[in-house]
Amino acid sequence: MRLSYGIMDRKKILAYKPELFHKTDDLLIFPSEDFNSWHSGILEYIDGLYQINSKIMEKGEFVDTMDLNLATGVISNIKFEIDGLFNSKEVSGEYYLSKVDDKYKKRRKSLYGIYMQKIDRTAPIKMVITNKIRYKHLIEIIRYSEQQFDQKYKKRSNHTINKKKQTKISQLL
Amino acid sequence: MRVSRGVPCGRIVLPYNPELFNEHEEVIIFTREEFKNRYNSVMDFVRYIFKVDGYLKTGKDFLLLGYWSDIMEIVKLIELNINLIFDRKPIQTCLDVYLYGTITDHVDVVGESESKVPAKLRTSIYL
Repeated sequence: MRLSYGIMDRKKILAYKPELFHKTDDLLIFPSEDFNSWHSGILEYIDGLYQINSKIMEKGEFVDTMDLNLATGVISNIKFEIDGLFNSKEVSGEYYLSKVDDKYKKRRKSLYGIYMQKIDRTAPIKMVITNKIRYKHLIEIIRYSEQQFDQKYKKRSNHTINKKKQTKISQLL
Repeated sequence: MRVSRGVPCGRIVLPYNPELFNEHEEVIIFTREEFKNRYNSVMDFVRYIFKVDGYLKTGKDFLLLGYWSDIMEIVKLIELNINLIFDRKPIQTCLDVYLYGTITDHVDVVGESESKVPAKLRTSIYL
């Protein structure tokens, strides 16, 4: 497999062996320490499976259902590890959450009070256009055009009034 | 784990979300297709073992002795697939671009003009 190590440098990665990749390749990037520990963890589980097998071979006994249950338990652990590679969230079952902890007792505040306006303002993502909404939209356009027409008319009328005033003043002078 | 996709751009690799990694942290870079092949094959083997387990638990325990060797064979295959991740040899089974020839390390041939470039400038060329 083609792989190369690299170092992060200002939001870019300097690859040690960049000649292995084509221009059009899609790349996956892992932190090397975490990836190595993941790899060795899986190998350790597999080693456990071999130990179960060797124990049976040493005794010279037949395989029981208990041995199979042990083996499937180890393999389910391997599956958890493999699934966890692309999950950013850690598995919740592994961590114990005590009820005595202060964090658990704290009442969580809802953010609605602070960001009320922002939350209310967001429009629904999928809007079904019905006849009623279409009618409302039309009326909004008409009202907007009316407003603009009124403003222009007022401006014009003001302009003409000013002109008349000016002419009167000039006549008086 | 922290993962991000990326694109090669000359000597530099540009990650899609660089905020996941710390400054000066060492990273491993794989091509996505090859890694997908390894990952999917391991997952298929694991699923097969679960299927066998489910089949034997439907009151067919007497078949366990025969199936045990099958299970251990698949465990060996899982180990081989996981060890292939760090293997530098080209994988012939997937019919890659690297069907012919092996991957060799690149040897840089330094030109004459480059020796005259001062040290400060050289770093700024690819940054």
